[in-house]
Amino acid sequence: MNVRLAPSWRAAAVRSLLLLGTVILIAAVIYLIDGAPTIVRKSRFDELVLFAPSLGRGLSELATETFVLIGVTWLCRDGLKIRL
Amino acid sequence: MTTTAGAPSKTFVLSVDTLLLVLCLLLMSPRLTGLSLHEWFGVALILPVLVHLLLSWRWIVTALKRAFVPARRRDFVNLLLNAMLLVSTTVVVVSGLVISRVALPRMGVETIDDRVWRTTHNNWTDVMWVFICAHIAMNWRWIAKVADRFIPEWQKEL
Repeated sequence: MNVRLAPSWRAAAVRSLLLLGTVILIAAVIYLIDGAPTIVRKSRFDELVLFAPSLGRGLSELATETFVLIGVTWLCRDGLKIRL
Repeated sequence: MTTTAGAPSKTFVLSVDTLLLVLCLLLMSPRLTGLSLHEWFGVALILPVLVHLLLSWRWIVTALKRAFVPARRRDFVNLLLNAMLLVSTTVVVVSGLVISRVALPRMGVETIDDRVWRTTHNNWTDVMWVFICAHIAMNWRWIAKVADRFIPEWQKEL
């Protein structure tokens, strides 16, 4: 199985750096919009408790998300005619 | 899609894409994984996303070249959809890292669970999910063609 990611290691490195640059640019924009995280804006909820693993609720959530994925993909494909 | 010399195997590409999809589904189900695994899966998502983008490099370059040719409006729309997927994924991963309660503190990085960043994380997750669906829809024919090899003949006859 051919697993080459790019014609050469150098090309892979350059492309990865280009992608990293794009990601940094997007991150910088969102940082400018949201500002630095501060203790004043600290969330009142404890997410560790809120998202405590639960098989029943978890499987239900996974099923819902899978259903949404299938539905929206179908809508994009057949309704909005999104294709290459 | 013909096989080009030196191009990665379709099985490898499909494997990476399947891994990405499974990771995304698990990331969308934090009540199943718990916050700790949710964060580690988010960190783990970075590598397959990078591989996926490197594997799609030829498409990215071609799409950028064709994007502003008026007769190729579909190419422009597809490029825009994929660019939005990159933007939304970046925002979700970065905001997730900023508000990390487990993964980053475990690496020795102090974080604050800032509610503005949390709102950004939650809102952009929904946006990302829509663009993931658009991305799958866009590449559906290729996915179906490659996945077809792995469906046993007896099952196709059903």
